[in-house]
Amino acid sequence: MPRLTYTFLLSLVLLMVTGCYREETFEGQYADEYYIRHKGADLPVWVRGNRQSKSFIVFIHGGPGGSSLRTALGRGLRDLSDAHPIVFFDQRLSGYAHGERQADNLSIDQMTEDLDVVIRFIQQTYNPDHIFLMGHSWGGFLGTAYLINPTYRARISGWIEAAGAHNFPLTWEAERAYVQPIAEARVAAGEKTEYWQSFLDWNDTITALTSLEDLLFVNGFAQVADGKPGATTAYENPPVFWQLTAPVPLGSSQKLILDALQEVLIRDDLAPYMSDITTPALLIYGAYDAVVPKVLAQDAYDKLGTPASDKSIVIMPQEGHGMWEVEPAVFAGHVRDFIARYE
Amino acid sequence: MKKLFLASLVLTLYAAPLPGQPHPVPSLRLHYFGYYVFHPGATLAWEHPLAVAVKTKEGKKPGEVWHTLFAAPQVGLYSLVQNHQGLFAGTDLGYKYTRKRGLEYQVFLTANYLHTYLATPAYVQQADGTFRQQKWAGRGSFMPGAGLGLGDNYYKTGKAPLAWAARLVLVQPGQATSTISPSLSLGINYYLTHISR
Repeated sequence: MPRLTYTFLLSLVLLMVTGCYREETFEGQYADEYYIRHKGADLPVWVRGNRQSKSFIVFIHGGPGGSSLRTALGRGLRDLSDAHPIVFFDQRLSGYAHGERQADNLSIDQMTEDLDVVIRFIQQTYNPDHIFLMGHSWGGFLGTAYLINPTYRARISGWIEAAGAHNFPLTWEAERAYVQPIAEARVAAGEKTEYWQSFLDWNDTITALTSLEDLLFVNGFAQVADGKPGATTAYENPPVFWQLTAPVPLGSSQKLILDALQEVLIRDDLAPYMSDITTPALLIYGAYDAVVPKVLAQDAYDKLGTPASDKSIVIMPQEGHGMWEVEPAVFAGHVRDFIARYE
Repeated sequence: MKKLFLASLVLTLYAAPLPGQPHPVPSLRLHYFGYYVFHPGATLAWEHPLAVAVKTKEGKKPGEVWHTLFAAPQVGLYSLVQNHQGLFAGTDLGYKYTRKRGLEYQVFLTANYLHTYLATPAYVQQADGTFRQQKWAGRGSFMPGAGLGLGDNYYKTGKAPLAWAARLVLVQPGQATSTISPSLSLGINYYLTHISR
């Protein structure tokens, strides 16, 4: 048989063998998985972490259109899940949620209702003493919107806003302000001059961000400018090949979501309603976060109705938007200390 | 979409070989089906030549090349661990070019009905606020696609009633978060009648 045939047979065997993905699981930790079926969506819910703790953390992923399952498969929150169970779930049309591929009922009201159904499920299934809510990036907006509802708020013992974007107009302006000196410095240094100059030219002509195209443009530069120069991830995520065989797919419906939520993303600021929230809050942001800059921490602190003694700001000195990339143990320590105070 | 799928399936099942075809030989196709390449599954198809044109090529080693239009009603399944299993049924419609020594290229369209089953227990909130497990929770959707492939046809050269092919298939499962998904189809065709030479 020709060489091509041997290659074919070898490929077949390799595919059979490598298709067998296995996730790391740990003794004494939850490794529970469910789907919650609600109003046209099947939301995957994974519970990972310490079985001994009765204080659960419900993690709200970013995006919109990201995936908390991808975070669960990574190793960045392992220090935290060693202490407390973390509930990872993917929002409708995000990650690997199943369901109707339509954005008709994609709204903040529907998404906070979905979050509440997940929390009610966790309450009934695990009977935890406390539920803490942790929202990252877009999840910071969604978590804040959830807490504005008094019925929902009553279920939550504490709010952890990790680089959360509760105020979108401020977020985009802060991104512009963060990127501008970096772009100027890169142009002056002759680094990717054309690329960074295109931001400066655009920035000179735009007075206010009024379209999805505008904010995606500035967000693209912020993603590149994000992070402390020279800082490296403290842990190794699973290799690419392992990720290819893991449950999370490569595709998503992010464009569908962005189109459906563009008015929210351009204009929504939850600040006028945040004085209703009196939940204890930890506002934790990265010093080198270009995507949701740390000025948002002070904005949340000022607007929340939580008494000053029950809210605090922590700026992670080594982190960009990733929050738990460079010093995952430090991040976990701050969250653990906060939970210990209110559980 | 479902009507389109059913129409194409019926058309395939009732399609007859054109008169005068030299080699209208059907085959059974058994393939590994890798959703996103690495999530394993399998397909079983009845590959039926709708029309075959044979042309003789001159040269140092003269021989025949085949142009084949084919239809392949199929059933398939795959598993995405911790997420869902997919069952699908439908048909491929395509064209194959088989060279003198059996090297084979193909392009095809595929239309399938996909039903997915969630891999973990699914719960639905009841009117009283409690949650009830729903057995066999899943969803159906139309899954169209297109692809191309490369293989070697031993049946063409008279060595064995077999051929193999590796095919890249782009499918659109139509579920909530799935955009166009690259998949791999890799396996053999078993020809049901030997060619006489």
